[in-house]
Amino acid sequence: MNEYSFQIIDPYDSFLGFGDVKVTSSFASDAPERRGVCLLIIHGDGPAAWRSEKPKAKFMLINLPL
Amino acid sequence: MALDRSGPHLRRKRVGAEVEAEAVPTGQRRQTGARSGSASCASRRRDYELLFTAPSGKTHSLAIAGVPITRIGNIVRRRKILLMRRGGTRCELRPEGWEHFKEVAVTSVTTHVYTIGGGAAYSSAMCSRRFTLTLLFAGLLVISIVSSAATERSKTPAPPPAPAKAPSPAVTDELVHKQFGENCTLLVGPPQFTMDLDGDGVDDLVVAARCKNPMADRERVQLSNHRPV
Repeated sequence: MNEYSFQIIDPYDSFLGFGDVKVTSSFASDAPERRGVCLLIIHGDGPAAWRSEKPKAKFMLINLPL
Repeated sequence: MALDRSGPHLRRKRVGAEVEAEAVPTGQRRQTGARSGSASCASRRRDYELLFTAPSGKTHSLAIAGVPITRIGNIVRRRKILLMRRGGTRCELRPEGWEHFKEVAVTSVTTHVYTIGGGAAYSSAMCSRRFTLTLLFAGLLVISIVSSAATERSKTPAPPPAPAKAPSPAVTDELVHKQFGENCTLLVGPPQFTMDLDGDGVDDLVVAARCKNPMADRERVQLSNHRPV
């Protein structure tokens, strides 16, 4: 967890056996247009849902083979 | 250039030429091919040399860039090309050698060599050429239309997966910076969608972004939490 309280997940490299996100986050795609592309997920909380000041959880999915 | 083919150029200048047959360079074929000084030597040979004229009173070097220069005759007012042989005999030099582009030659199914001045054969060949060009142009047009359609398709964002819906108003960089830091920027193009992913009855948000060094903040937090012993 960092100061923005989101969790970084690397599902693709985890599936391939690389479990340490600290390492896999430094992987860069061969294609420049794919570098740094990730999915941001905010789990909403309360009536404001995902617009809440303090969401229930936040995830960043990196190294997606998109 | 074959000597007999220089006729049109001389005719345009309204002059003729007297060529000294024995002076014409014949190259290596002298031993095997045409006799030096013969008419066939001046028209059927494939030993190409550049012809040029120079004023008779002007002196010039015997070679240009190492290539020897041979004087082979004179330009005269009579509009013929005469081959002057040793002993004073002379004969008119007429075009005899290969004339390029004279005949229509088919070298393959799609490649043709065309003539200039071939009547019906020329028209037919030109029709074939136009047809080929039209076909080529149509092919290029189709390719460009398909590629532009593909580009347009890639520009149009895909709809969010059902039963997801697009957030309204759309998510901006401001929210991304607030929740994930300044290193993240919203990716323009991919769809944004909201749906209840974890089944708690509250909408969740999924957006695509581009983030630089996502672990940077984590390192900073760990260092700040580190207390020396």
